[in-house]
Amino acid sequence: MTDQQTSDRTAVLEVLRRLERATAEGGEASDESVRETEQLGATLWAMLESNEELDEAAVRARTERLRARFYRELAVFEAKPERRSSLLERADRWLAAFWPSTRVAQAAVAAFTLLVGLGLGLTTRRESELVRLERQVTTMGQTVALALLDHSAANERLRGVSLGAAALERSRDDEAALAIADGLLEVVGYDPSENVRLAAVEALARIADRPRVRSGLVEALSRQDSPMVQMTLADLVVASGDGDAQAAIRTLLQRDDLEPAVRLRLEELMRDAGGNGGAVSSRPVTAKENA
Amino acid sequence: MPSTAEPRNRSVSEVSDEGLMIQVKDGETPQLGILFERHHARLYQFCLRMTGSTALAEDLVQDVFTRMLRYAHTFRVDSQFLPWAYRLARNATNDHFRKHRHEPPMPDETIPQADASPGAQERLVEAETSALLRRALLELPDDKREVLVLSRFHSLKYQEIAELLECSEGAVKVRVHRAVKQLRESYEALVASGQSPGGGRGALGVV
Repeated sequence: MTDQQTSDRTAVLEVLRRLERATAEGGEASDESVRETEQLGATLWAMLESNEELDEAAVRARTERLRARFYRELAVFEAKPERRSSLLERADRWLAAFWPSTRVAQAAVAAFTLLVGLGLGLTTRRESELVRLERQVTTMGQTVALALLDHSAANERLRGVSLGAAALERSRDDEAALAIADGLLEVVGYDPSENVRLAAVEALARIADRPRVRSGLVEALSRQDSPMVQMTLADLVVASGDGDAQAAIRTLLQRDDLEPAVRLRLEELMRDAGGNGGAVSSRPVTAKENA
Repeated sequence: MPSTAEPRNRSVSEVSDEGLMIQVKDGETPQLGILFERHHARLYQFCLRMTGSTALAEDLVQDVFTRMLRYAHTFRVDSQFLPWAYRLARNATNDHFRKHRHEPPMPDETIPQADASPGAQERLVEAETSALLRRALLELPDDKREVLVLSRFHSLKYQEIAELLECSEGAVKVRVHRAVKQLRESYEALVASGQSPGGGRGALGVV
């Protein structure tokens, strides 16, 4: 190593040592210390500069290269017609306008968003729990209703019909609704109590648009011996538009034990059905109206 | 050369960096030309000190200004331009390091041969000393080299560096001190080993 090499390298080391000491000061640095640090930094900066960095011609050439590339890129960017219409960019800009600049505010926004998310999550969970509970209640109501329909006491069966009707209204499940409907159709066809049968017909009127219920009601019509049930059921099946409704009413009209009032009503229904192409009435007549 | 309005030909604007950047954000992209003229040299120096390669530094500066165009909408009215520009430069550099993790930063300079002209030998020794210091700087871990380059060689305040590096001002001071210390140790080790700036790794093309 030559003397000059030793001297130059020692000089670099000296600057580095002094800079190390100057930056080691804790707390508020004095003005003098700050100035010294700046001077040492500038010295070190100068020591780092290569010949190429010091060569003015090389610097000019590099600047020209950078400049040419920059303006080329700028021209390409400006030529892109979609640069301002990008939805993503606009959305990003919109969001950026709302995003706070300080870290505290950013943390507050993040915390708020988290809380809103948690709140929504809990609400949704609560809602899903409510749905589950509702389903459980419906299932329980259905089970109880079906059990009561087989009860020996008429008032209990009547309660079963009411529960079945309520379960039908709540039920969002077709299978469950049909299970109740089957139970009620069984009641309409075979229950010994006129009141219970009438209540079952009223309950089924709500879902009389379903083919299975419609045909069940038509089938039950021939088994009725109560004038009140006969008229209510006849009104319902004709109103439901079932294809077999008129045939069932004709069969009923052939019975000798038919009450004159019922016969009159059935004939009236048949007349209307013939005149209106089968659509007798737009709504079923309730048992109360028949009474 | 560009066909569009070229700010280079305009009279030097008195508008602040931030004001110009807001105009760029609002669609006046040619205003970026003024910012380019004002700051490309310092951004080049940053990239050069971070990578040690002049060619790579030029690419990265280009990348930084392209990012300024692309991400102009992220520049906030209350932002300072220079820290924002350094953030982009830092991101560009870090992205490069991530993509080329297996390639440590190495200088691509060449130290000229001594000739017979007066003072040639002295200039050669100075160039070698300087190259050795640059090599010591490049041997620092990226984060230490970065804080040193930002604090010692650029006009950023500790507070601005702290915002840039997302740490406290005190942490910046500590990092700067540790970086200087490691730079000194690294340089001492290179000197003690008696290596030439190329360090036997054949990367400098030292002659």
